[in-house]
Amino acid sequence: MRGSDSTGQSRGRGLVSPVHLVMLIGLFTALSWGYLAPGLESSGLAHRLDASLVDSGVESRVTAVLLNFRAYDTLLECFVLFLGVVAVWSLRPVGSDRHDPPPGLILSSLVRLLVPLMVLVGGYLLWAGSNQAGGAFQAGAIVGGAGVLLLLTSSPLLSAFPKGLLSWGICLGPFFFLLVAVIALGQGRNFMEYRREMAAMTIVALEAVAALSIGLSLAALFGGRRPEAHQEMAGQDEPSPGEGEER
Amino acid sequence: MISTPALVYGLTGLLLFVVGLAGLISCAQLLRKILAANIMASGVFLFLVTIAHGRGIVIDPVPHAMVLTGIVVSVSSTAVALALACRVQETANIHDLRKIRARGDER
Repeated sequence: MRGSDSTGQSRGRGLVSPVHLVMLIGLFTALSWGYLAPGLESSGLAHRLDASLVDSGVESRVTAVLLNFRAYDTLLECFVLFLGVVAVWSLRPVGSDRHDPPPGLILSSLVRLLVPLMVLVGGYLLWAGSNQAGGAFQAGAIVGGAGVLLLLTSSPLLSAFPKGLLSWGICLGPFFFLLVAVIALGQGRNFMEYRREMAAMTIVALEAVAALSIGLSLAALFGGRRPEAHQEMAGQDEPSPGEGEER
Repeated sequence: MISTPALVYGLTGLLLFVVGLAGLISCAQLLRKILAANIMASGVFLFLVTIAHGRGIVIDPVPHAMVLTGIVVSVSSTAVALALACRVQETANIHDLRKIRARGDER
């Protein structure tokens, strides 16, 4: 934490003052006491969850909590991510920070090999989420990682990606989620209450859309700026995804 | 009684939280504050995952779901904070809160 700056102003930078130190130690003691104190034992919600797991439509308990029992949290979280992208794009000028030289043959070949594999792994995690560890977030993280890899290597695959799709893909997740929630409300059920026999299908659809949206949002956050849409679109007319893979 | 691994993980989580808080208070540079907030968040996540395994035999999935949600939220908040810090750096050419305050006092 100690600042290594050599400027005159850096005196005391990064050093906790004694008053703060005492307060922080006090806070740690209080928190530890709260954690270690007896009488706080609770089995949590695990038993109640197990009892109603059959109603959720999925076998994975974490997925059941995320997309059924506490789907409201996930809805809000999708919107937080969406607002994050909106805020970052509003704060930074349109364009790109990266003016790196084009990557070498090995790096670009590796990226071309890895990115489809990462998308495949993301799809697998999405599918696995219904009965084991996995789900929309993990899949979204892998897809986002693929996007980060493409951004870091300023891959030509990026320019093959239609820029309009980025904005639409990012919006799709939260608003599809909201739509599902509101439809339930319109049909006389509670907010985000799925129809029992449709629950499994609804969750899979929500997860697929959310994973795509989360992945795109994470990559967009990493990019840090809104990519130029029109200039690059004008340069090439509607490249198909297959065409992009060829290069 | 808390098992030893739970004790180690739980206390480490709390310690990370307090260390992050110390960094948040004492570092004047914006980037360090953002990193400190991330360390705090990591401490909270570690703690939540620990109490999920907690004291029963059954693992409570609710804290796990909260951590998954929290990770995404912390990524978004970090990105927004970084964008704000970049903006401050670009418009005022400073990355240190004390200099911002000093400049505010001059005016």
